[in-house]
Amino acid sequence: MFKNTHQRGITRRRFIQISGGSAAALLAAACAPATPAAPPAPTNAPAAAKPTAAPAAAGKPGGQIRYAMNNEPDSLDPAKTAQASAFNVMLNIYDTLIWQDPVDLKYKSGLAESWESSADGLTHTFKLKKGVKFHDGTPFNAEAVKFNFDRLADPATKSPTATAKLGPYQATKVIDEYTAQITLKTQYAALYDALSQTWLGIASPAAIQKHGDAYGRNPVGTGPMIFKEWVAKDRIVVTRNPDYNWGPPFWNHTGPAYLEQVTFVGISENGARLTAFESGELQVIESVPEGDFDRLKKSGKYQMVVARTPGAPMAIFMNTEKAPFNDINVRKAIMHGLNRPELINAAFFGLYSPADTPIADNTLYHAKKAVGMYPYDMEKAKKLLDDAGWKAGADGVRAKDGQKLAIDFVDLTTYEPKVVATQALLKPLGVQVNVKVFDQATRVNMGHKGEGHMFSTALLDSDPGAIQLLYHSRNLGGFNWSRIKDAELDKALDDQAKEPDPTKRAALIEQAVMKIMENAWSFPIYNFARLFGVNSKLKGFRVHPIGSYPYLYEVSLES
Amino acid sequence: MTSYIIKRLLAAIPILIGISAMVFFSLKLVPGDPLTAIVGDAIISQEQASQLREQYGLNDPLPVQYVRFVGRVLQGDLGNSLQFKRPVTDEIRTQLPATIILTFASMSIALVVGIGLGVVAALRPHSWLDTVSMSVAMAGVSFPSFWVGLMLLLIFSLGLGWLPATGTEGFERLIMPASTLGFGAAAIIARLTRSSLLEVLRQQFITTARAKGLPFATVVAKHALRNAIIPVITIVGLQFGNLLAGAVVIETVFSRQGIGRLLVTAILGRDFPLVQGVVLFVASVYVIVNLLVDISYAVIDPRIRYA
Repeated sequence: MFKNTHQRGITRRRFIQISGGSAAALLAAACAPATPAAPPAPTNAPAAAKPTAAPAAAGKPGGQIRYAMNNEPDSLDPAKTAQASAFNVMLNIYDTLIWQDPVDLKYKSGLAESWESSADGLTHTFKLKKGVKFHDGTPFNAEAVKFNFDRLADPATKSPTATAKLGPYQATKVIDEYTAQITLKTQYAALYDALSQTWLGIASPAAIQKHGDAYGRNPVGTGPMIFKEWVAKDRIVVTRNPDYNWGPPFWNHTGPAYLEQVTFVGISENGARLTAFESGELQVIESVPEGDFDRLKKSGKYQMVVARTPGAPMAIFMNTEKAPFNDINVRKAIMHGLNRPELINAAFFGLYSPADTPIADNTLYHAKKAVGMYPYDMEKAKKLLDDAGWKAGADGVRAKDGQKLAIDFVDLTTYEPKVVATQALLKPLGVQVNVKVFDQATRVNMGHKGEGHMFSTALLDSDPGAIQLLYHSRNLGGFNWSRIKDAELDKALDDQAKEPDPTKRAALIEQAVMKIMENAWSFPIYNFARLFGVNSKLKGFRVHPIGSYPYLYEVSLES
Repeated sequence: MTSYIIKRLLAAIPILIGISAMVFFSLKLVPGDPLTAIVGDAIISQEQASQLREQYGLNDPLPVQYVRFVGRVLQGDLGNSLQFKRPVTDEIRTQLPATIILTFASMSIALVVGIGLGVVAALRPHSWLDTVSMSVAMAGVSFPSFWVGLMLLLIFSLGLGWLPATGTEGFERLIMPASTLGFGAAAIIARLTRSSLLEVLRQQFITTARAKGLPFATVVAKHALRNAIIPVITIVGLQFGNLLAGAVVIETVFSRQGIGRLLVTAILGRDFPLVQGVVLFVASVYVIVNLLVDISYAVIDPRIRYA
């Protein structure tokens, strides 16, 4: 498939035709990320390719489903986990103080009915909903909010992600039973975004005290589903919360969830997960391999969902400390010389849309100005290399001062198609790409140590400021895989994190993005998405904006 | 006999210490950071990373970590899984029953099928029965178990819809994994049973027994098989170890609970305490199974005595 495509150049228009509706819908979304409900996508996108408005029709209550993730969660204590699979389950068990609307990206009421911030941005007061009960029967109130956040701030909790999300938290003051006031040490622009993520979901203080270290296996929240049991390495079962009536306003119905019971299983073997899905044993599967996604979609028997994630798109990071990428012309040549739509077609069956900037276009403050800075232009790419002194040798590979233009592309084993496609697509440019694929832990370690020239990753987050994890010099030795040390960029990233004014913050983020793009520090490739297979009997399947986790509350099982 | 068993058990201690040291230090050579176990795929800041390393004691020098590990193991504490945030012993305890059931079910299939095929082949050497039996055995040795497993999934779950593809509970979820695992072991047992039995059948006491007028079935079952079975038992013991190793693959393919899948998760997540715990546990089982095999010789063949 890939040999055929890489020979004929393919225009952006042609790509859109090939990959059909989903790409079209996504590109439409690129123009107006905040408009509700994208135009109905034709043929190729049978279900929510991006967050859509909730369907109006009422679902049928009852029914049980089995839902397969690709691994079992580590813990269901939001304070103790950083795993996507845990978020998936916790989204049903816990509520957050506020929720981000997946359509207009605005913050809506959750356990907090309303909120206000002080002029200096340091004090935030939340009026809480009354009559909300945890699954263990204890009442939800301001004390519970204080207990949860104080626990996260305590280093003894050893929280892998929630503490960081809470930012410069100072304290929570209980004003009265239903009013909680959060104070911050310094200004923190991403506070509301953080509060809308399930990492800061509110857990029952009584249950945490009762279970101690074992709480992660006995989670108790206020959410639409009640935890029932966890059989290690086999299943996690949640059942409908009959009292639930405090969901966010944008959900497709009120009152209890439709589904009676959801059983989550972790199946790492792709073949087994697909077999169980196709035989009807599982109703929802995640992480469908692209090739199988294409096959299942063509069968027309399932709802195949491409759920875009916000944050940073899948990008190639070029190690600027190492030759040849210490030369900006080489980096720019790669960005002009690698045809992204063709890469997406060759490696991923055209399932994703090309990305243009370091912040995905479905994220707040996406910097539009950077779109289109590096169009595919092989001639320009060749000229850049020629001018920089990289001349083609007898084997077609360019060299300069006796050094070959050879690049080690280090990536995850499952991304091998992407690496191999890059290898072939860059060959005409005279660049030799060496395929180096490893397991997750190994390749992350190599990225951290700069062992290799090219790395790739996406970042799932609803707050654009999270890109500092990939670009700030303080994360050298961490996920700053391009190894950028730039004081101006650091300052822009630091300032935006504290800027409470949305307009000013957007400007700072744009400044950072432009800096990254002008210096060719990273090469955005495609908009990352999670690929779901959903049984056609399920209605109302739609995803949460943060990492495209489904709201199973909205899902019903139709016979 | 008792003193022999005690001696063998004492000899196991240096083996286990050696294994633990090897596992501990080789894990540290593997690229990858135990932080992976704690944060999974999440992208975190360097500040957070160093805080977590501090909180989980991952910054201490290796020898310090090892001594602390051994000290804890001697008190029966294998530490806490970094990934699952609970004691390693709890993880092993919850996963063990499924692996035991799988191992015994596979071994039963392997013994019945393997000895059956072996006997049939040995009684009619070079006949079509022999050819068919040994071809089946050859297939069992040659086909990788993950492939056999996926084929069974394709046929019986996806194609015919007879058996569930994933999960642990119930007999119907045991059939495919146990058959896959048992098939490989059966093949080896069949080939060994055949050659061993052929050799015994050629011996003079068999001729004598036949000459006495004993029925052929009795001769085979009571005289020949009992003598031919000794090398088979050695292999069965070794196969127990192989079955445990095979469980790593099979439990993953069929998404079953079990020690094997636990080990895979632990290794991929760089959950070092969990890897150490599981490997130590499996090594202990291996040592004990080998001991049991040696003891069983004496029971089956009274000529073998241990001082």
